[in-house]
Amino acid sequence: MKIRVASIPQLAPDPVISSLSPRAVVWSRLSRDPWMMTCAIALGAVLLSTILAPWIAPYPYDQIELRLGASAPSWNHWMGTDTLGRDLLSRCFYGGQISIAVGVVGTLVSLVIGVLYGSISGYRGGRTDELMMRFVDLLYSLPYLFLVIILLVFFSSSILMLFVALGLVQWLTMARIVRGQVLSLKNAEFIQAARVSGTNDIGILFRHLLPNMAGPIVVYATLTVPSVILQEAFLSFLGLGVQPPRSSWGTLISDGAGVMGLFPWLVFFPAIALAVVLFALNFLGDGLRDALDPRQRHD
Amino acid sequence: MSVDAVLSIQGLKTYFFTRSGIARAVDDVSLEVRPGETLGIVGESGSGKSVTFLSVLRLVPPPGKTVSGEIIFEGQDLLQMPLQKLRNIRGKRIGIVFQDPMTSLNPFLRIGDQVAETLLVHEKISRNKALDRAVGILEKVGISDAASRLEDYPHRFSGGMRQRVMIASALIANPSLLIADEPTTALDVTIQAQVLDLFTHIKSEFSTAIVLITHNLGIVAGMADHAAVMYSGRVVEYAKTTDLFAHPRHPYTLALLKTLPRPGDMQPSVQPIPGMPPDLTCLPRGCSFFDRCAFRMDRCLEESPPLISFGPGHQASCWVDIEKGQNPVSE
Amino acid sequence: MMHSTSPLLEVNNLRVYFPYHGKKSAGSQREVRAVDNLSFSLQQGETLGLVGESGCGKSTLARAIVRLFRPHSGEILFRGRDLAVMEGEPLRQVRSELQMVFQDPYSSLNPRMTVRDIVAEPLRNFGRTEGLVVRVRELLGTVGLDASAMNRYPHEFSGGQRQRIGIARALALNPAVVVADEPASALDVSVQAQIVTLLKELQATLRLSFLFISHDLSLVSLLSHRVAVMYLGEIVETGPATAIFSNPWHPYSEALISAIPIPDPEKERLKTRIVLRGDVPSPLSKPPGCPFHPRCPYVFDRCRIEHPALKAYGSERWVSCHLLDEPNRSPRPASAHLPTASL
Repeated sequence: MKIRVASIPQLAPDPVISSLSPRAVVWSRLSRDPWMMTCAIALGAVLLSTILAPWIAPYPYDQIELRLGASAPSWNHWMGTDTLGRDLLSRCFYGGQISIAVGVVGTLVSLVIGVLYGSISGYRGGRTDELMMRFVDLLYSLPYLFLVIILLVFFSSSILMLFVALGLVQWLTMARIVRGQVLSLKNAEFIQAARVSGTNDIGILFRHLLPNMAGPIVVYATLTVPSVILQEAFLSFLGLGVQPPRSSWGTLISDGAGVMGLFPWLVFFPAIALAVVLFALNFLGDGLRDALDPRQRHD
Repeated sequence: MSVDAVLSIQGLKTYFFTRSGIARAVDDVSLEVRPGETLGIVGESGSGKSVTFLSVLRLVPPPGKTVSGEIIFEGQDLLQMPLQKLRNIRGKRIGIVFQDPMTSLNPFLRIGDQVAETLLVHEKISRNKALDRAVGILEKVGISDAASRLEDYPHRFSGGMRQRVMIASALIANPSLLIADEPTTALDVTIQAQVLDLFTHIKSEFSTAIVLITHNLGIVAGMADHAAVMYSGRVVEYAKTTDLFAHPRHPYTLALLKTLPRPGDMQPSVQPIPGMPPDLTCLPRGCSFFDRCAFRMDRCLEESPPLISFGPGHQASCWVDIEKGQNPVSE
Repeated sequence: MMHSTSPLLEVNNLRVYFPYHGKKSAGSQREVRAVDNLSFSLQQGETLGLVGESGCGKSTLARAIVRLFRPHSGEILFRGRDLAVMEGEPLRQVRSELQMVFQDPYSSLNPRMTVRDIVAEPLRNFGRTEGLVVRVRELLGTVGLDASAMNRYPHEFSGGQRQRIGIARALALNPAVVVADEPASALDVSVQAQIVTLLKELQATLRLSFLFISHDLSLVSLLSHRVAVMYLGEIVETGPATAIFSNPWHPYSEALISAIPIPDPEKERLKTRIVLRGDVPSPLSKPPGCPFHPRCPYVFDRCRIEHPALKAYGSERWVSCHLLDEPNRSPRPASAHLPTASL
């Protein structure tokens, strides 16, 4: 009795497993969660309002109307005016430009430096890794605000310098996270397979390592944005950030805090704007982490 | 159903309620284990061989759930029993050995305490007496100088030694049933030989009935008195081990035997089974082996065959009498 | 070394040591000797099965040959050029002819790449992009996968199918040598047979030279023309597959073969299984003399002191065991009909 194997057709691959790409899966998981969508919409609205500030702001941010003084919210000034009679809503729109730009640029700088530094350190390994990580430890041990202040004092305290200074100290944790990921991934068989197939180091980094680290990197980046915004607020509070008459949420809050007892709306509204962005980013970061986690995908 | 069975499983159904559907991991399985006998359960991953015996111990992880069936152990139905009472049976009356000796021992507990734990939990006995018995059982499973090793932590033991420790702690309370789930799969060949030797020794020295769950037909051939072959959640063949190997009645058993190389043949060769096991969430109406079967016919597509008797103590769930060579697919 | 025609791949006195940073106990070396003074050769179109238990260094050897590790010393001659000292671009070029199939079908494919990109990657790396899609489709066909697999991701496939994808990737560059490191051991029995049969067919039709590494002697016996048995980083016996299986000369080979459970109740219950005592020693503290002597059932004084050399017996078999030099000593391996040394 001879069994003819060839006569039996190969089964089609398991039909239940979705044939969505990982990116589509992530998107569908995010969009299915109403809470995530709320966060995304809130963030989008704030972002849009700051970008469109020149067109939608009812007054110029630096238009002083001393006769108004600090007036409470009204139909003409929805968020009221500050002690110089400037419209707070307009100042919040413009302030958002700076705060969000600082957050995004600072995060991007930290992302580029941190990811490159961390992946080189982890991938090279050995002596190189040790040296590079000792350098990170060294920077960690310095009080970072001190570093930023030195940078801002030595170079002109322009907004550009502020971006650079904040980004430069933010990358340390990112570098550590990325290095850890690379260390755990670089001995995976698919990395060995890529090396055997003749893929060079750059290909391994960009085609194999980075896409597989996207989850933790994206999550940490979304957490970096609010932290940079808060640091800008702190530097501005110290007088090292943006200079008047320009404003950021940080300066608005710090100015408002001084007169909080008399004119509470001056601290309330900018604080709400900042809080919405921070909350939304934190939740989106958490949601992305879950959506990118492959172990959660087969439920 | 014979009255004297240690364990009798009747119509057991354990399903996993996943988002992509209900996976029928165990679908109407009936088996029994008689005192002192070794029952081999053979199957590939996903065949339900492990889930069946996790169901016996009511250790099926969620989203799995035993939906119906009876599991009579020493006259009591384990599925109806309060959990408190079942805990007195697990470990004490039923010993368990898992596959991976590296993870099934607690790395922070001394060997002696882990082996003696069963006794301390189930019997009113002093720690010293329990440790004395631990020494006795450890020596029986081949750990030399056991008394001096009681204080050691698991990392000081190799894989083979840890599996011996696991077996010792499963046997210490003198259970009437020992369930061993792939006990040698994680071990090297020469260490596997040692552990199999130990099982042979256990069979002759203790009167414990053993359920040996394995994917390795060679191990079943050497150890088991009876064997059950499982495929996609069902028992497809049950027979005395010698009958099963000499006269397989289910096409899957036959095909499985042909996938095995026999070292020492001058022209060793194997015949793979084409295709893959079916998805447990959408099993076909008819026989679940249909797609891969060399003896299939139209009836198999419509009706799932029950276990049919092919002689004393030999059952297979197949419409075709493959011994007569009926109907091999040959286009 | 043992053939008149010059072999395709020749490994001479290869040593791969790893530095050991842990606690040092008395008598242990300062490094892990994963591969220790090992030599073998592989002919064009031949399958060499490399058998051994975990920790015997077989995976390290595989990775050293494709130069994922740099060996400590020794030569890896491929078409007469020494890979052991090659670096950078020349090494990358040579690698196109030396490919590898990995053990774990779940970790050896990048989960974020489509099957098309995975199989095409080696081709792109060497600029062979002409007719790329056609070639990928052809490769998938060769390993028994449908072209519809191309746009899907690895997690959509079963273990056996994923291993086929890995094989397609290894074949993409038309390599001369394929190193397969336990390619079937993570799979179910019936799927294992599919993969092994596929490899066997491919080896024959493509005239590949195969280095097939496995702990499973019965699988090795299916595929291999010749077998080399490894123990603690060394080859203890090598020869034609059928000869070694029917009549092993080294006590370790004998024990390994007798330990395989035979799927036949009558034979399995009648056979005398040689059960070795103890565990495989760590390659960190190799025993003096013959590395196998603490577990050997036939050990005698000389084994504890003197390391046996791998010696030729006849034209095809090489064994490293003192017993073979002492024809009058008993007990000895039950099956050994010992030849006279041809040195």
